[in-house]
Amino acid sequence: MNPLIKAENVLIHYGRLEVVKDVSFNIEQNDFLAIVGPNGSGKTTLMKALLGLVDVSSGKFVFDPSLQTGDVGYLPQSGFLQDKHFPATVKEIIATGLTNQSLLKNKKSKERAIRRIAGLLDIKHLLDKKIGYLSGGQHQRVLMARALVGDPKVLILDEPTSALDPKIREEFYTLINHLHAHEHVSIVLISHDLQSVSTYAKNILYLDQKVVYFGPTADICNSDALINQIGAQAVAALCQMPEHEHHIHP
Amino acid sequence: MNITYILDLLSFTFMQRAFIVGSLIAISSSFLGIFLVLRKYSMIGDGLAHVSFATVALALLLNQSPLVISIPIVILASFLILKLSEENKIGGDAAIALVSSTSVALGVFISSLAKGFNVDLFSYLFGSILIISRLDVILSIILSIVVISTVLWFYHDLFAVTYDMDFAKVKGINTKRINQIIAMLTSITIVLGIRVVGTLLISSFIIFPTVIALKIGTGFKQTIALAVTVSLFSVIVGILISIIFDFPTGSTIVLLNAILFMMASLFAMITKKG
Repeated sequence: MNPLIKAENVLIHYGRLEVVKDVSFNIEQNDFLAIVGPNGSGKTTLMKALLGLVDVSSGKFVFDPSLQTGDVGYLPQSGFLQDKHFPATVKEIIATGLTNQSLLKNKKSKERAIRRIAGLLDIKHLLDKKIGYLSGGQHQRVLMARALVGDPKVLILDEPTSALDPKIREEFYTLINHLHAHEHVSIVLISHDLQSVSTYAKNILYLDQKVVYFGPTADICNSDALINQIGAQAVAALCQMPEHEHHIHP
Repeated sequence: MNITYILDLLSFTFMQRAFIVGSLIAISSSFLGIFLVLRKYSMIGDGLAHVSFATVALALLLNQSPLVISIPIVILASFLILKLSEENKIGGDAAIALVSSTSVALGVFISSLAKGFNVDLFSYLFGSILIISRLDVILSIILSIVVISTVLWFYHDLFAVTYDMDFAKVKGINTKRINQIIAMLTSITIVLGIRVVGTLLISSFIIFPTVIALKIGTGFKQTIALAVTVSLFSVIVGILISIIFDFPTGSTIVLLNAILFMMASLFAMITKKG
């Protein structure tokens, strides 16, 4: 089966600064890929390039022909504070995730699509609330609903839990896992926290401007490059986590 | 003074024209305002108003209709401001300052070349809603319909770009085209408005009603509706007050907006909305 998205030798410059160096990886059908790395490692820039928001200096992204515009859902890093005074209801925000013109023009179908996704994310009761009045966790669910309402095949999440407290963070990961397992959405999760994401991800791309490790989560224990990068102790700690073994997909 | 006096005033053609054109500009500018204010583009209106000062001077020099000469040039200037800001070589505010100061300099230069029309030019600086021609009325009706129908047609995309430009791009919305549409509609509204309040005050038409509505509104559509209501109210009441008390019309409307803004801020403070 062809990968959904293939990155081939991607190089990204900001002025003279090389931010991403010769990076190649695949996002498979029904994948759960975690892109991990320290701050400034180029994770967000790489994903923005994949989404067409940042220009690639050389190399390219190859998309499977089955992927249409709007098939990629995107949850950016939290814009919680910027939204405090934005005059829009939750329903209005979720509707921006719709790309299907017939849905947009038919008020009833549009309402139905929004209600379905709001039900899935347990935010139906918030639909008429102003976005600025929500808590961090609720706000994140609304942006997740916006990303999902267009029925994407791939969902890219950029540090989705960074602004959430531990309890809500755990709920959020469970929700992502549910979407992956039951709605068959391919997940690309950007995080600086290897330990948390390795519990859920099928594959890991460890980035530090260049690829340090790309492969199945189960094999990270054997990666010399990763041991050199984050230290033998850190890798050993990951590999000894009982829940790690338990959650990794076959 | 009584209601008969006001009704008598309304029977004059110049008053009817003032109300029609004033209301159309009120609706167009408040329809657009929310997209400009929320995207921190408020000063584009101010910059383009300065550009329109130069284009009016040019039109008077060439003995042409200021509306006809101004619209294409102000639209081009708005695209130039967008391009300068998008290329990130200079900031958006610096781009506006460059274009607007150059335009004012050009306007003053042109007016010094032709010494005969300084009085006319002065009326465009502060507006003169009571001397609107039949042609101005017809053009205002057509252009207002263009502005309002374009906003309604592109509403989904305009809202998506205003809320989150990156997400809108990911969803396949042509954000560059949407920015150009906003710039073009702003240019048309600015040129229409200079007859009413003048180049110095027109940007307040775009900014004030929206900022007042933002203090009270919950949803996006509701905020636009509130802005339109505030704008219509301030224009109609402003014109009436200015006629009855012989105040300058443009500044009366803007000062009325300022009072409404203070009242809305107080209301928001009491209800803890903003």
